[in-house]
Amino acid sequence: MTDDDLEDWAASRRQVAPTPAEAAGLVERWAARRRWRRVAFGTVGLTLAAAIVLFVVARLSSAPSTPDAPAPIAVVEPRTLAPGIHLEDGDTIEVAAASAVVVEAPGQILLTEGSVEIEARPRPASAPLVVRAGTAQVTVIGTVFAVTLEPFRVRVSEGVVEVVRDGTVARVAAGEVFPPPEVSEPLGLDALRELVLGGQPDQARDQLRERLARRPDDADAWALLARLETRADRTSAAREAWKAAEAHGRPRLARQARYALAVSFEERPRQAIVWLEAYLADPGPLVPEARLRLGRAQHSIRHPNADETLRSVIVDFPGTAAAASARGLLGDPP
Amino acid sequence: MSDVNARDIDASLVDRLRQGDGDALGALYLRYGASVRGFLARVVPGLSDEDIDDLGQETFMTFADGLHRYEHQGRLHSWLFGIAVRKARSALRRRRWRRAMGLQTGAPAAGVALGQARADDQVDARQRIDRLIRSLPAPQREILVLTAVEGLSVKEAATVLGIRENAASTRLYRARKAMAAAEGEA
Repeated sequence: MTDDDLEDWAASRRQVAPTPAEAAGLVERWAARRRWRRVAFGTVGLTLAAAIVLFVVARLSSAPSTPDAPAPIAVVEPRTLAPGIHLEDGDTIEVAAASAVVVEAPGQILLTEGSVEIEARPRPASAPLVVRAGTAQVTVIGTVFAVTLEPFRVRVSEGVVEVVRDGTVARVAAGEVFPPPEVSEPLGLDALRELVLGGQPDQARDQLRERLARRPDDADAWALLARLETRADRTSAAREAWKAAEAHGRPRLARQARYALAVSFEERPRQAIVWLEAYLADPGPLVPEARLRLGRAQHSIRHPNADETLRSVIVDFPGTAAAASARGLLGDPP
Repeated sequence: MSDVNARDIDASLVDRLRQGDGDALGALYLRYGASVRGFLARVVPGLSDEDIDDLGQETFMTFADGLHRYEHQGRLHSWLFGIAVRKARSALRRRRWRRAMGLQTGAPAAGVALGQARADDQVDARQRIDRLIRSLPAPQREILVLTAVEGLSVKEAATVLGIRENAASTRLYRARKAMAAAEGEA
């Protein structure tokens, strides 16, 4: 017998996590036990006190009282939330299309179908927001996150949530997804583009990184990653991705990458010139714009060829916006 | 899961519980209930779901009642396992007493709850391990489950069981040896 066999046996004996109702039951049971003990000890105390003089009893009566027992648990009728945005108890709950959510009680949400995105108000650790989805349970102290029932997934945008599933507890922080991305084949590019269009660029970027770790020569993936990084204003990361796309891509994609790199280096003319010259050596459809950019970059560092480059734009592409801009840079009349 | 953050949350919940906040006990139950109940199910084979649920709740209430003894140094779930072990032993004693008095006919046969209809190899293996685990004396079963299944170190398991580390190592060695011997006979 191996430890794997033991683990498999142990897994077969996993217990599901208690429900919030069970936890409330435990709290009530404990409170009742404490009350009973207080009464029992109080009876014994009174018997002893009877043997003591009356003024002690009088002093006891002015002593501070014991804390009140916890308030009874409020019973609230469950309500079903239709797809759309709902404000509940300070939380913003966005129920996706073809999804169903039941608010069982304040702070207790049951996802019965589809997915839900929640912006939870900050809460004390003792009274967290709890979202149940199938056999899994997500406990939240105040964050922005989304839960999907099938396949079960939790994506956290802000803060931290705790996920209990199949007897195990996982802590999912901002930017992370539970369960972690599959070890199996990552999502295809089309699916990743869908993610981007669906407003989940962070998740798409994580998936792309995972895909590229296995297939570093996937130029299309590098290009998509570069666009995502550009959109997120991560210029350095975008440049690295474009360089990889340029190195591995087919001629057309490599040209796009060179032009994108030149644009990204607009503030650094010498770098921009390198990439623009590379683009113009094997030009694509953006020749007028590339040559204008080259002239502008040369002009900014007082390169001796600047005027010649700009004039070539005016001569070769008359009537275009690029020619007009070149004229402006040269101080020619329009 | 970040262990450090988990400990921060545990410490916060324990503080609140010390201040009489019963909801903190509920939150701890949500965090560790599955783990404790799973441990009870493994260490006392044959317990019914109701018994597991009851012992699990008793474990947490005993923890809350004895908070003055708890010092938040190690992992909270180790402490809970220590209480659960004692609850499990009591349950075993009660079961033996009931059997001796003829009030109980014995636990269901090994593997019944695992689904006899699923006659695949995996189920066979689980039933075999279930029988082997059941065949161990309770102290050996406890140390084996705590270390090999719950992932505690021998030192942590020794603390949970209230024995010396050397004794725990010896007990674990004997448990594995007994399992191997029983497996050889099977």
